[in-house]
Order: sequence, then structure tokens, then C-alpha cells
Amino acid sequence: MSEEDEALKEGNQVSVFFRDQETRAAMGIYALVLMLVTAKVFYSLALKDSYLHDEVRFEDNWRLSFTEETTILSETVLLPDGGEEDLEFAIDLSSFPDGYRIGLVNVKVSYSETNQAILDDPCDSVQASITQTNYPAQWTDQNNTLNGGSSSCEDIDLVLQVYPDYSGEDYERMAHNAVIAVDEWVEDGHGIGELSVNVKVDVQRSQVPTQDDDDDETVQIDVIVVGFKANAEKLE
Amino acid sequence: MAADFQSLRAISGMVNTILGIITLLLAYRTKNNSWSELLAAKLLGCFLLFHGILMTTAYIAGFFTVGSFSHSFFGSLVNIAHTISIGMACSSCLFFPYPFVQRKHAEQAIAVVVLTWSFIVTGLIIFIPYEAHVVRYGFWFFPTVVWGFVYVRFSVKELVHKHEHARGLSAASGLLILATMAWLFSDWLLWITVMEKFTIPSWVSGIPPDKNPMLFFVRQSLIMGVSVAALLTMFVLEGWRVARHGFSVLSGIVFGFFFIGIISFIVDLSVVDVLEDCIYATCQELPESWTIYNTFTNILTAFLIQPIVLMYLMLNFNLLDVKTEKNGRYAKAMVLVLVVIVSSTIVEMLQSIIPIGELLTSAFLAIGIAAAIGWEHQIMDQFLKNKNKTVDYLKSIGEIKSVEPASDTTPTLSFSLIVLFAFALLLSVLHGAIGLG
Repeated sequence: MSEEDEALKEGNQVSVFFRDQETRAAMGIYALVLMLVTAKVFYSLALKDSYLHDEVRFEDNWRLSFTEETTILSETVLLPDGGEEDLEFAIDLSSFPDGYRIGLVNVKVSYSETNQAILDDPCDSVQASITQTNYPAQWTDQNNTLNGGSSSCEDIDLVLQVYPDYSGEDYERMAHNAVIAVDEWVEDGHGIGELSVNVKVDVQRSQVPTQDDDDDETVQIDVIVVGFKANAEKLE
Repeated sequence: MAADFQSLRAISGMVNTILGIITLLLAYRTKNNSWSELLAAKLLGCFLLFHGILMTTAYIAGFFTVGSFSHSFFGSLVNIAHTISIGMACSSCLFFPYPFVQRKHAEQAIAVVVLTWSFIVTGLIIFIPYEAHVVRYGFWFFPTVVWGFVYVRFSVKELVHKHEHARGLSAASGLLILATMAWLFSDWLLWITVMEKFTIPSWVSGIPPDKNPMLFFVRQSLIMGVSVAALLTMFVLEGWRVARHGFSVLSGIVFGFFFIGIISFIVDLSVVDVLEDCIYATCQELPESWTIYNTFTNILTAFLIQPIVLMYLMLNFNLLDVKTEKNGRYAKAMVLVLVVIVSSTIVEMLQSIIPIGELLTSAFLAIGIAAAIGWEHQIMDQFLKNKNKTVDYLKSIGEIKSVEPASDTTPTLSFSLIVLFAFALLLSVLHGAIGLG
């Protein structure tokens, strides 16, 4: 009785199948191909570029910091007593390096009493405001100071938040990679457009009757545009 | 195309369910076939039925599930149906085309194995879902390996040792591999070259951070390794066979997938940049053209081509007796319904990407239906062209034992089928009501 017949009689059909002399070599080659292809697939899937597995599976802790650049747009106007003027400032990114966005806009209105009287001529009264237009900014942000005034020749400082939640302070966050870590800070369009600033002057006259009075005032408006670029540094 | 993908799932659910029901009906009406072929037909019928339930439920779940899918009625039903269908596929490879198990109580043993498998795996999925899902799906490797060896052995018998009738076994096992794993074939070249470019951003990134990825890597390597090895081996041996005996249905499909794999490789390389963005930057959506290509290759294969191949196999390899008048009617209904469903689906899919009027596609559809009815005899003849009797050949080489299957003892496959249905429904209701796990 042959080996195959014995196996068949024993009821071990798996053994009969694999003991076939005519095809044993071919099945051996197939088994080898099977193992090689499986090993190659395993290598590609589990071992090759495995350092990237943690990158895509786990989030890392990133410290975000901001590099700031500023650019200043200035206008000087001579306003008569009771005079008012709307000034338009065209803001764009042309004066910033690549990759910068506009974070906020500070407006500084400065003037001084120009009348050279013997006794002090009192400072004129100046009111300034950033006019709400369709300029893309956070008009309802709590940190905004959209109007102000002075009658003591002090500068008037106005602030308009442009990029949502931008404060310029470092913070930490979890993210898969550096691009995702800074993804909150790469939106385009914020702060690009025409900013309108309104300035009014009320001239204060000297209390000394013989003194010459002036009836106008020179006001300087500086629009300080704060641009930023977010940087992400992976924390260990 | 995302909507089409979901519709395809529903159509596939319908196709699989219809096929499964008719296969089981025909199998229980078949009297004259060998016991192993009949048992395989029942197992494959159950596989199709539960696969259909899985697909249909997954589609319906999209409309009704609120909250966690895995803790819903539909989520649970999808899981159980999937577990049972894998159990059925793994069991069927032990009986067809080569009957590895030739025992009197084979049907009872397999009924117990399928029941035990379903209970244990379903239970494990409730408590250790990730591990159980990964291991369960890994069992697809088993039938692919078994059918791969059967294919190689009997192809060599035919081509080298001139056993003409050995072709029945090699063709059947090749078609079974296609009917279960063909969805992996359309990207075979990518899998064995630079698969990491695709898998790291899509598969690896999806592994939960608290789970061990090695289990997934081993499972996926096994499934993809045996599938790609099977396709390449079939390509070589079918190429050899075509040179000697001309084309066959199997060689046509194998060559088709081989060349689709080369085209897919080029197509996939075109989206590598988009995928790399998921690693080094933020994920972007894949191009619409790639999604359409993927729908027409991988998804169409998984949802429609695979059940059609299985139907062809069952009719062509004598798993079902369709010679009697009543059985023949069922078989004709099955073939016509499926041919019409599949052709109309493909016409509708083409319409969604090619700007042609609905009236025109309706006309094409009408032509297709008329052709299916008009050529009903020819279509059926094509399906029944070669009545391969694998058992007769195995008898001739002395590898079939004379076994009289025990029919008077329980549990039978029918009994386990009823238990599985009741179990699936009961557990799903419990899951939906109290959220097990």
C-alpha cells in the first residue's frame, strides 16, 4: 500500500493532498512565493518608514510663538476749529515678508499746541475714531478701542483687533505636525483693505486777552500695522 | 460619487441576498449531487445571505443610526452578519472544490464550528472590539490559502501531467479566490511596491493611539500577501494554460485584474502628493477623478463582480442541480435578475460621470433588458456551458472516500442557520436597547 493510500485510509485528506508526488514541488514553490510576498507586504506596511507611524497616530505638543513686524502709514492734516476729516489708509501685505498675516492695527493720533504764546495757550481738543466699515477685522472684539479724545496734547491710542484671537503671546497645543499646529494662524484676507480714521478738532483759545489765538491745529495720524508669522516648535 | 458608493452598497446587499436565498432554495432541492458539493453550496448560500444582510444593514444604518454605530441595533447586526459570513466562507473551503473533510458527520461538525465561532467572536467584539475585529477579518487569509494550494496543485496536474479534468478543480478554486478577494487585486502592483505611501496616511493613521498596531500589520500582511501571491500565481499559470488551451472565463478575469493593477498603480501614484499632505501638512480631499476610478474598480469589484463570479461558479461547477424544470426556473430567474440589476447599475454609474441625457441611458437600459430577455437561453447556456464535475475527477484519482453522510442527527446546517438568525436578531435588539460592552 502506498503512502497516499495509507493516508486516505486513515482519513487524513490534508495529508493526501500535500503528499502528491507529482505536484509537491509546485506547491512548495507556491508556498515560498506566498511567504515572500507576505514578507514584502509586511515590510512595507510595518517596517518601512515606521518612524512616520507615530507621526500620524499620535499628536505632539507644540510651542507656538509669533514673529512680529510692523509697518507704519502716516498722514498729517491741518484741521480748522470744529473741523473734521475722514482719512483712508490702504493696508496690504506688500511691506511684509512672505507668510505674514495682519494681527492688529494700532492708530496713534498725536498733536501739540502750535500757538507760541507767552503764557500757555491751552491744548486743543482732538477726537479720533476708527470708523466701522467693511474692512475685514474683529469689530466687536472686547479689546478694541475704537475711539478716544484728548484735550491735553497727549497722544490718542486706538486699537483694532484684526486677526481673530491674536495676542502675540506664546502658547502650547497638541497637533500631528507643524503645519497643523499653526493652522489657526494661516487664514488669508484679514486686515487687507481700506481703514478709515475720523479726526475732529476743537481749538481752545487762550485766557489772556492780548495773546494771539490760532484757529486750527495740525494732527498727525500714524497707523501701525502689526504683522505676524506663527512658528511651531516641537516640545520633547 | 459618494452617493453612488452608498447606493452601490444597497444594490450589492440586494444582489447578495437574492443570490443567497435562491442558492439555499436550490441547494435544499438538489438531491443527486455529491454530499460535499451540496454542503459547499449550502455554506456558500449562507455566506451570500449573511453578506447581503451585512451590506443591506450597513446601508440602512446610515439613515437610522443616532449616536455610536457600534452600540446600535444596526451596528450589532452588521457585526454579527460579518462574523457569520466569514465563518461560512472559511468552512466552505474545506469541502469545495477539494473535500479536505470527508467524514460522516462533517455537516454536523461544521454546524457546531460555525455556531461556536459566531458566539465566541461576537462576544469578544463586545468586550475587546479592536482586537476582535482585526483577528476576525484576518481569517479571510485561510480560504485564500486553501484555494490557492488547490489551484496550484490541479493546474500543475493539468498542464504538466496532462490530467485534462483537473481543470475543473483549478478553475473552481481560482474563481472562488476571485469571488472573495478580488477587491484587493485592482491595486496589486501598489501593494507589492510602494504600499506604505498609501497605507501610512490612510490606514496607519486610523489605528487608535491606545491600540497595538502590530496586530493590524500582521493581519493585513497575511490577507494582502496571500491575495497578491494568488493573483500572480494565477497570472503565470493561466498564461501558460492560454498558450495551450486558449482563453477561459478565469484567465480572462485574471488577465483583466492584472492589467487593471498596472493602470491603478499609475493612477494611485498621481495622488501620492495629496496623501503625503496628510503626514506633513493637513489632509486634502482626494481628486474626484480618483474617486470615480476607485468606484469603477475596487468598489464595483467588491460589490457586484464578486457575487456574479460566485453565481457563475455555482451554476457552472455543478454545485446546484438546475436540470429539473422547477430548479431551472429558479436558476433562470436568478441569472436574469442579476444580469439586469448589474447592467442597469453600471449604466447609471456611467451616466453619473458622462454627460449624457437620461432619455438616452433609459433607452440603453431598455435595450439591455430586452437583450437579457431575448437572449435568455444563450445567457443561461453560457452559465451552464461546462458542467464541471470535480468529484468525478477526484474519484478517478482515488481521492474521494465513500462516505454516507449522517442525516438523522442534529445539529444540521439548517438548524444552525435558524439559531444564528435568532441569535443575530436577539443580540442586536439587546445591543440597541442597552448598549452592551
